[in-house]
Amino acid sequence: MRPARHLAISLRRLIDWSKQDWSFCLMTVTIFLVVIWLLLTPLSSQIANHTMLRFHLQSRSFPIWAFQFPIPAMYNFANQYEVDDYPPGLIDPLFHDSQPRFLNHFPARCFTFADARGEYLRAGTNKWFTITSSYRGQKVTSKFHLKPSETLRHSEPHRQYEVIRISTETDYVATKN
Amino acid sequence: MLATEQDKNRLITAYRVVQAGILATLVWKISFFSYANAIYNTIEISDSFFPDLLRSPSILRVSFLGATAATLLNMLATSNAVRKGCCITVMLGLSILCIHQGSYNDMTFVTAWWCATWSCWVSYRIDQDSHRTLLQKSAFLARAMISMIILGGAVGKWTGEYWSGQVLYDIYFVDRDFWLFNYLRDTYSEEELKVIATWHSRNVVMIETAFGLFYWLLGNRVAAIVGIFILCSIAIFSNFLLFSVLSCLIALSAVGYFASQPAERS
Repeated sequence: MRPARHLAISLRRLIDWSKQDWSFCLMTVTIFLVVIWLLLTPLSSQIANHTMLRFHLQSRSFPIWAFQFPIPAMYNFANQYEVDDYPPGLIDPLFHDSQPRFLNHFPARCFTFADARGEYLRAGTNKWFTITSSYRGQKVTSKFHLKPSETLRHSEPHRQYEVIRISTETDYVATKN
Repeated sequence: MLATEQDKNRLITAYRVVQAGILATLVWKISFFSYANAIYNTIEISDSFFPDLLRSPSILRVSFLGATAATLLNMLATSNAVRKGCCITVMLGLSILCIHQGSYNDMTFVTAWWCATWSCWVSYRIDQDSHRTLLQKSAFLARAMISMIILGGAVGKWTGEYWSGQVLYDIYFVDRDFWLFNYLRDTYSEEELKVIATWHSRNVVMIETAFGLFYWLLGNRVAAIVGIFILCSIAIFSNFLLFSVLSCLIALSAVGYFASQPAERS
């Protein structure tokens, strides 16, 4: 069967199923809307920026952030993180020894997820995290201070940290990749 | 056996295969999850962005164990009322895991959530559609969901850093302890590795793009074969831990196989 004819028959069948079954229609429309959102990402700087803020836990509110969880984001965007023992900019770059590394998605996982907490926060000392996400010339950079809680600081092995959001910057670079 | 009964058996088998896939997804990284449980009990992060409940390790534990137990029961259940109850429980548990501070970044729960949504829809339609029609409709929805999820991965890679191979080079080629990357590091120089990483990354971008855009258009049987082959190969050549993200999608792509069986046999 020719592809065009196959497509026409498939679409006709989809329309019939949707007319007979509203729940099938709802599922199909939901998937379609997610696909439209995804396909608009490279075309709309607002959507790309929105997604990068989602990755940085910097959406306007928690409900807005949470509402986006069904949008798949495996290995999305170029995300980097850097961990420092001192506030960024305090140490002369010549003596600055941390190296940015790439992460697959949701770069704020470098302090929220279990393996990262185990690696960077076990010692109970101050840590500064710089995370960046870039996509087709757009870039968002966020800086976080993970401050150990004074009250629980010495109760080994329990550690409690407070997240302080230092800054978030969005750059729009004219060049497209 | 009557054709209608055969169709019902195929539908229930397909449904159980998907539950087995969700279960594999949830238990694949069980050693990591038990490590995470210990870490979350000892290193707490207070971030006002997340509501208190969605930072609690207890909520994380209950959601994960509840979703896993309900999936197991769902796979074994013979009553449709039990299936519906299990599906609601699984969806609730996975929805919490998708927005909890300790698990939001793990795509395992997002792929499992979509498969649970499919399961929920099937369990509510079993009594209302003919089994053959429901098999056809559920096979289409399975393909559409897989297409959308893979397209999500592809679109995020339509950027220079992936086309140049920079991202995958740093994540996998520099120091990832995995058979393929260990072999490549032992065999090739750093410069050669960068070239391999570039072509590997371009290959991933192109396959995911083609898969995401066109997979939903394939026929049932072809889609099942192509889906299982490509999804398995992603994990086999990158990272076995990816089976935790992909197992449920592999099972979901198998639905096409059950829907492609001949209709009339008695």
